[in-house]
Parts: sequence; structure tokens; C-alpha cells
Amino acid sequence: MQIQGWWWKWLGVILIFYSLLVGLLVPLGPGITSVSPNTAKHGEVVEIKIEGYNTNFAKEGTKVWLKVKDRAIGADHIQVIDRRNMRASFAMPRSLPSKDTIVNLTLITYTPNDGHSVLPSALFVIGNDLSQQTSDEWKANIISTDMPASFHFPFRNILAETIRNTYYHVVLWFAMMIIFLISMISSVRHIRTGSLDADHKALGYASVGTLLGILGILTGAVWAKNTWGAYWSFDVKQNMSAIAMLIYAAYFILRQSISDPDLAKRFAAVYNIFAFCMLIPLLYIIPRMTDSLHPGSGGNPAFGSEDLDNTMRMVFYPAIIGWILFGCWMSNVTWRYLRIRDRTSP
Amino acid sequence: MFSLVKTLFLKDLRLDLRQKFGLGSIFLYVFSAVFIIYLAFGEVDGRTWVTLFWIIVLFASVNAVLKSFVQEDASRRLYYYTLSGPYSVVIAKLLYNCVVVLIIIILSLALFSLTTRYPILSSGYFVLALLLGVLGIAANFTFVSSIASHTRQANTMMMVLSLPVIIPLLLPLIRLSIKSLGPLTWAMVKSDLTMLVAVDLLIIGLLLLLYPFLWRS
Repeated sequence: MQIQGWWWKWLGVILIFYSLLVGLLVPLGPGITSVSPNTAKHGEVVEIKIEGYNTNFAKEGTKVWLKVKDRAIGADHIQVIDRRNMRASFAMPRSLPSKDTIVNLTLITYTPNDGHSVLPSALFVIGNDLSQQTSDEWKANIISTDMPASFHFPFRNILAETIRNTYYHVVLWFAMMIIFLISMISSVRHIRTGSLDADHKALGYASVGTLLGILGILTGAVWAKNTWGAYWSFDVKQNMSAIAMLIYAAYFILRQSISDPDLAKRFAAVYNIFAFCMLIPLLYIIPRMTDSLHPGSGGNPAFGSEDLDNTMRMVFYPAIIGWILFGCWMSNVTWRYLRIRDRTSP
Repeated sequence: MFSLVKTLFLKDLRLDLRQKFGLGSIFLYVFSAVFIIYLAFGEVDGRTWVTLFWIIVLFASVNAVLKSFVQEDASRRLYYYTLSGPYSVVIAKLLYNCVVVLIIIILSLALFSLTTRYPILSSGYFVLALLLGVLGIAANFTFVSSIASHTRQANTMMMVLSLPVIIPLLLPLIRLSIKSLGPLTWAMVKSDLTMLVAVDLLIIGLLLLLYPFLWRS
């Protein structure tokens, strides 16, 4: 069996398998999922129940703090129930280091096995004695010990286990853009040289790009159901990506609707170039200008810098390369099929 | 070049003025659309007014621009092209379609304001948005209708091909128009205006770059 240019096809398949295996099997890091009760009054003793995820709360060495800005208080008494549950009691001071009368506190835990875990807005404290702002109670030091070395994906609140979808949803969109770019370049080659292969390539790559786009929308919808609460919440990026799919659907219809085959190829190529150029404002500029639930738009931090840690990078980048290579392989098969079809049927 | 563009522009204008139903049909289209909205809505709030206004303009221009391409048969088109070059043809077409879209916008604005009301407070920015919109809509539809006029169902294909690609232009236009319902400062509209100018330039650049590949047909 002869597979032309086999190595990059194998590489693509291996990288996708790697991203599936590692992406699904590596455990999630420890994190705090919930705290109850989540409100308290100032000046009273609060006992809260802390529930962790993948945590190892230990009788020895576990510490809990509540933090506002850069000030913190430590727990007076900690009762570890099991690996995932513990109780901590705090003597809440009458005055809090804030100018508000309702203050939300961040919970930080430390265990020797897991290192630090953080839950923002864990506890709302109602009431604040603004008269005595020089409170001495908020002076606990959060010990900064290095994280124990272990291989896991970071725990993020709300996302939790669904953070793994980064390796599929985000990656599919990356690969789709590259595939569409190759399709556009093939179209440019077709209108410059009139090469028939270039036209078949443009169509093949556009088909596979659309497939990846639809998969990207579907994986995104599943993710959105888990994190935002609905499959489709009319977020600007969701709408724009649906429109992007419409543009390529129009491209496929255009090819069918011109009777003269040479004219159809050239006009489709021109529309493909135009469509790709319109995709850039559609997918990358408009979402940044309006409010969106996606990262990287409407004041949300851009994707990449904070959302990925080194463990995730080790899966994310190989997955992108893998899907691009695999997409190219699929497109290759598609356009060679198109060439054979054109040669055999008059 | 300039005189060629002028001649081709005047040719299109004369053709449309000679056939009186051309302008008349646009007028009737806009009038009936506005009248239906008036009957259906009665009183409309600002946001709805802006959205309906752009929808009327969009659909009226799609038909008007496509008409100027479909009415030329292939032999006549070939004759123009051999006389001039692709650039003269496309620039003349673009300018002529700008005039057509501008007439549609003025008509819709007048009729819509008469039947409902004129809710725009910052008229200066609104007019600026209108002018940028005229340029973008005319360029986009010129491009798409020169493709769509060769297809079997030109009208349907025009809608299918043009509506998804007009959205990068239409969204900032509608945003800017909605903003101009209230008082505005330069800082509030800067990003939308930049976006509009950028998309306009992108479309016109692509039109000039790609039209030479469309005209040899």
C-alpha cells in the first residue's frame, strides 16, 4: 500500500490521538467547588463548610484563609471531615479592609498535597464598621509554598471538567481558519493560472473547513450548555460563526447555479476570496466591539495568556497542529476525488 | 480614463431615465414598504425605526443594483468592455450604484419620516453613517450582482450571496444609527466609524482587485 507523503498524515493522526488521550485522561487539579453558608455578618463567628474537587484535605498542615484585596484572616479552627470536605471557623472582625458595607471575600486553602486552591467571591460579609479602619485582625500571611509537582489540568471555577473542551472546540476553530485560508489561496491560484487542480483544491478545502466549522459550533454548543446554561445564547460569536457557515453554504450553491462550468469555477473562486476577506471582520473584529460571553471580547480578557497554563499548552498546541494536518489530509482526499469525478464524467 | 468613466456613468443614467419604470419601480417599492410598516406598526420607537429603515434600504438597493446588471445582455456587455477596460467599467458602475443607493436612502428617509417620525438627535453623525453606508452597500452589491447576474436564478442568488457578506458592514451601521438617536461625542462613535471606513475600503479594494477576473465572460 502506497500512501503518498505519508509522514505528515501519520503525524496528524498521532497528534489527534495524543490530544484525545491526554486531554481526556489527565486528571483535573484540586479546586474548591462550593462554600456554605455563603453569607455572614461582621463581628460574629462564622463556621463554613468547604467542598473541594479532587482535593486531599489532610488533618495535618491544612490551612484556610479569607482574603479581601491583599489582606487576609486565617481560620481559627479547622475540622477535616474527609478528603473533599472540611469545616473552618473564622472570627469575623467588626471592620473589613474595604469601603463597602457588603464585602465579598476570596477563599484560599492550602494543603501539603495540593498546594493552594482559590475560590473567588466565596463568602459575602454583610455589615462593615467603617469607623475603625485600622484593624489589626487582617494581618494573616498566606504562606507561599511552591506547588507540589504533579501533572494535571488547572481547576477553574464554572468550567471545572469542561476545560478539556479547549482542546477540541478552540482547536477546531483554529484549524478551520487555516483550512479556509488554504482554500482562499487555491482560489487565488485558480483565477491567476486557470489551473483545474487549484479549483478542486479550493472546493475540497472549503468543504472540510465547513465540516470543521460545524463541528466547532456543535462542540461550542455543548460547552455553552454546561457553562452558560443554554446550547445557544445568541452570543455575538455564536451568531457570527453561524453567518460564516452561511457564507460558505452560499459558495457551494453558487458553484451549482452557473451553467457554464468554466465560468462557475472562476466566479466561485472570486466569491471565495471575497468571502474569506469578509470573514475576518465577522469573526475577529465585530465580536471584540460588542459584549460577549466568550473570552477576548467585550472587556473579557483575551484567550491565551491566562486561560492556558503550561500543562494545557502541552496538549493545546499539538492538537492544533494535529487537526490542521488531519484537515489537510481530508481535504486532499476530497479534492482528488473531485478530480477523478470530473475526469470520468463528461 | 476619467472621460471613459464619465461616458459609461452617463450611459447608465440615460438608460434608466429613458425607461421611466426604472426609477418609478424603486419609488413604489420604497413607498409600499414604508406604507406597510406604517399600517402594521403605527407608532415605532427609535431602535425599531432605525432597524426597519436599514432593512428597507437594504432590500430596495439589492433589487435596484441587480437590475442594472441583469438588463445588459452579454453582447452589449462585451461591446463596452472592448471599448474601455475593466477598471473604467467597474468605477462607472460603482459611482452609478452609489447614486442609486443614495436616491433610495433619501426617498426612504423622507417617506419614513413623513409617515412615522424622525427620531434621530445627532443628525451629523447619522448623515456620516449614511454616506459611508452608501459607499459600502453600493460596492458590495456591485460586486455580488456582477457574480449573481450570471447565475440561473439571479434574484435568489443575489440574496443568498449578498446578505451574509453585507453583515460586517450592516452591524456597525445599525449600531452607529442607534447611537445617533441620542446625543453623541466623537469618542463614542470612533470605533464604529473606524470599522465602517475599514470595511468600506476593504470592499472597494477587493472590488477593484477582483473585478478584472469577472468581466471576461
